[in-house]
Amino acid sequence: MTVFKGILLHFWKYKILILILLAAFFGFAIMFSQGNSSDNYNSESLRLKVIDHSQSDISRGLIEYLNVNNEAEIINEEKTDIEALEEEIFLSAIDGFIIIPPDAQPRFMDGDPVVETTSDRRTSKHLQLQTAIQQYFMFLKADFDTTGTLHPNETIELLSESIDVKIHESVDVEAQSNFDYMKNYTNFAGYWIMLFLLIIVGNVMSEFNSPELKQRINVSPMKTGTFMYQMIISQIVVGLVVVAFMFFGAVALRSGELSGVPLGKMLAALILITAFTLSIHYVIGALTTNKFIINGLANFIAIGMAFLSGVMMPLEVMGETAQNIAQYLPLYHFTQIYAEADITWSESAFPMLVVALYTIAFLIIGMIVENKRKISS
Amino acid sequence: MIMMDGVVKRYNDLIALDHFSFTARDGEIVGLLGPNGCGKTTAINCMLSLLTFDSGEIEIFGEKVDSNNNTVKRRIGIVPQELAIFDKLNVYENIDFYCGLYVSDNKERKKLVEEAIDFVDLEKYRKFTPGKLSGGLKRRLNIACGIAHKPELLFMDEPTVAVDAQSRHFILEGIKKMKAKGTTVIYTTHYLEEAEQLCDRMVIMDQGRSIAQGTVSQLQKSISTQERVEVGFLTEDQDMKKRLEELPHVVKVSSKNGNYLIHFETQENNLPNLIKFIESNDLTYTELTSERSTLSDIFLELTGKELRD
Ligand SMILES: Nc1ncnc2c1ncn2[C@@H]1O[C@H](COP(=O)(O)OP(=O)(O)OP(=O)(O)O)[C@@H](O)[C@H]1O
Ligand SMILES: [Mg+2]
Repeated sequence: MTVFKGILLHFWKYKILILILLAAFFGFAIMFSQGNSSDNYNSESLRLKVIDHSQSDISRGLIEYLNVNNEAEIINEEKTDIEALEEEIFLSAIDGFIIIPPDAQPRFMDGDPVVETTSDRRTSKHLQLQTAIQQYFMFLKADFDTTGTLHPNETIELLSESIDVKIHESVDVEAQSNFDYMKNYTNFAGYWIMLFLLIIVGNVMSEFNSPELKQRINVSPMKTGTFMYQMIISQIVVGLVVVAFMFFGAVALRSGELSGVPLGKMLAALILITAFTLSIHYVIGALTTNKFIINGLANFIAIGMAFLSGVMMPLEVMGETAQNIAQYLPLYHFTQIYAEADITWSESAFPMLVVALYTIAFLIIGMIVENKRKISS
Repeated sequence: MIMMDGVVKRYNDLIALDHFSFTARDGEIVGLLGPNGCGKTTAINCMLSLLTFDSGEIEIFGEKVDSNNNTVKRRIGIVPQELAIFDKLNVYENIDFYCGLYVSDNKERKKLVEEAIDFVDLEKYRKFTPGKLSGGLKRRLNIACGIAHKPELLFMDEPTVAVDAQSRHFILEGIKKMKAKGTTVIYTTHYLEEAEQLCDRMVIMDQGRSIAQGTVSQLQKSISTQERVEVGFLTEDQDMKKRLEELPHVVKVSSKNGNYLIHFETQENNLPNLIKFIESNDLTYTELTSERSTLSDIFLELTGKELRD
């Protein structure tokens, strides 16, 4: 296993570069991950004070409804000091106060704004309060319009049920956002693996493919078949280690946020793109041992394909021509393996097959190029 | 051990080996000498079956060369003219890699690698990558990579280029020790002193042909001038050149720095004859030096070229 060991030793010599590339990758991944989770809007319980001048069914209903999720304290209407209340908001002692006017019921019937609210407009709590009040009156109005009478208690029940539904829906939303994140992550990981393998494997193998060293190894009793075998095995090992880093890195990064993510398909996709990249590298290696050309080609191929396959930006943004070209690129099919959160294995089979066929095609091209070169030398 | 008979190798129009024949016996150090481009490396590559050839025959260890014959390959070592070392691996790892192509047993290999490091005296540099080694140290590493597995037959293609005199001496002594243990060595070099000191036999090549073979003394006998004597006289004499030419065994007389350079065809009694001539003619000489033919004279006479670039 001297060649196998020798090649792995070479990869080890690139450890600093590999670490930098990995750090850059996970740096991006963590950055995206944080931006993503802050989107999850969490409603908090509001501390409110209510001055009820109306003492009607609808005002009592509103207070009851607000108390479902918040703390609404009714204060004495005689001793109301608006300025003091504003001061309390300013000091964050309360999140807002509501004044229900005496003519609340007729206002409601006329479709006029019923209550007056004060809260800090700069915080999300302002919006939360507005939404809660709007919801209450909307439901109440819908009920009134159909039945012609007011039933605040039933409205509250209805609203509470709809909150349950909402909570249920928001789980789905979470799954979708989990999937979206992992989809972007896997897209980026696919691109990164291509670039990484083309550069690192390219540089290592260009050394082994240099004519002096090849001749020298040819003189030794190492059989060509054994040499090839060890070379392929070592590349596969490196490829799998990289995939494992990408995959388990994501799993660690997103632990607890993985429901609804087709992880198996993503892993399969990453393994396939690794195999495909190694097959491209095989063709490049058969064409040249010049490191500059290898690095140039690596960037060109990886970035070009990434752009045209929707890995860098959604294909829909690009023109029709780009979209048409993309259909023929393996990286596009790579993204199709995990295109939907609930994709089935039979739906993934076709894009998986396409990537595998591309890999085989490149291996055959590589063999042809290599044989041509052997004959001409 | 090696038998090469009438080998022809063409690169398109260029004939790199022109019916080249060559033999090396067990335990010999055979020098392959010749000017740049005469076909030394090509001959070695044919023997190693790195190159196919157009006609002729090559046998090593009594078997026809064949790039798939791994039992023969296992017994051969090569120190190539072009450095064949990995830039990213350090001294130890490089030697270990090449040794590993022949020896799979870890313990034995470790021992062999250590011996190779001692052989080229690179102990101080074992953790250095080639990028941090000087040209001569890289050459020494190249040698270590070729000899580590203790081959029975070793090809060394100009191994000591750019190696300083002290290390070269160290390496030559090492090769002599290998010979003492029975290794056969095929050695190409541009340093004639090295060949004279090291080689049992030499093959002189020019334009793909072997033009002379033998030991140094055998080769010396094959050329016309065996000894050159330079002499200067106090007084000028018009006829002096002619009179010197009449001395026994003189091939020719030429002039050099105002002195006469007398070429003799044997090595015996040339100086006594000349001194007798000086005394009997009552001449006073200002300078008198004698020089036996060296390999480089042999070379010059056989090929018409200086060996050194
Ligand atoms: N791959 C090749 N293609 C064409 N011609 C070649 C090739 N390799 C060598 N030659 C030619 O064959 C001839 C012999 O070359 P070779 O390398 O054997 O010389 P050499 O004796 O080793 O020279 P040197 O002392 O400089 O190493 C040269 O004229 C060289 O130009
Ligand atoms: Mg040469």
